Amino acid sequence: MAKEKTNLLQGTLVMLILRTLTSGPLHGYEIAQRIQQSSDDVLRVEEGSLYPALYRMEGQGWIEAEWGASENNRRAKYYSLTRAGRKQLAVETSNWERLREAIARVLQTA
Amino acid sequence: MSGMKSMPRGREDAEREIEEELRFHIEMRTRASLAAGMTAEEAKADALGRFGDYESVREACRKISRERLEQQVHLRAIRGFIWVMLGCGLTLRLTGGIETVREVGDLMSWIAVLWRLLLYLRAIRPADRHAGTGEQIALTLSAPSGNETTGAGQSRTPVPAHDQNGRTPVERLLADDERTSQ
Repeated sequence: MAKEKTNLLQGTLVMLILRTLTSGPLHGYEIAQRIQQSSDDVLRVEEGSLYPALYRMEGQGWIEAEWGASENNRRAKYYSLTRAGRKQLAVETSNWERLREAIARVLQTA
Repeated sequence: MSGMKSMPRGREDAEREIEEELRFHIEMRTRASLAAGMTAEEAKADALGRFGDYESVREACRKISRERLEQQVHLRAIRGFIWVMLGCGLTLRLTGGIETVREVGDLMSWIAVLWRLLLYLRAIRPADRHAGTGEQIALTLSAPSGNETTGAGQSRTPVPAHDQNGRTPVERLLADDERTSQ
């Protein structure tokens, strides 16, 4: 079940992971790489800290993990988005938009 | 990708998987740095620097994994209780001598079915003692100009995360995705 009330800052980071996984299953290293590359190297995840977040998100049922063979034929853990994860992505995106609009309004009026 | 669901059977199994996953990440980063022209020592140091505190990451993953295993045990207990309740309810319904006993059986059966349905819809689940206290994910903004450095200790300065069109990284992600899907 998608959470309605979330911490916005943390939610933004979770949103990036969820959004990155919409392109298909990825292992942790690829997720960190994709976030960095997609943001034109503006955003950078401290790579180790990604894993507790992935485990937590897996526990929430937003993503699921599966062991598979990587491109260099090593065993790797791939994460993919669940239906609950897609719902959560919609919630997080909506929260992000509200935050962005609110901040823009404050900056325009201040 | 050939798949095998990640369902650790116990604590030791889970800890082995965590270790394997984290080491895989560091190995991938080391390979990338080697391919970029670093020496083996530089590549390893760079990979560890980018990864952060390995021990604390591993401990955080272990803690979450232990909590999940406990949750699974609780979930199995709830499922077992539902089946027992349904069994008792149906037995009372079918063998009860008086109307009141049959009504109690009906009630128990309906409660068990409703409970199972809520469990299926994930409307109820075992308590997550640490829900909402998720670990911080360190996400930084790097400098926009070409003064990029690599490895631990690199300089990271807060800059506006907008491109020349005023789009945020998330908006660019969405726009890129729309372009690729067309």
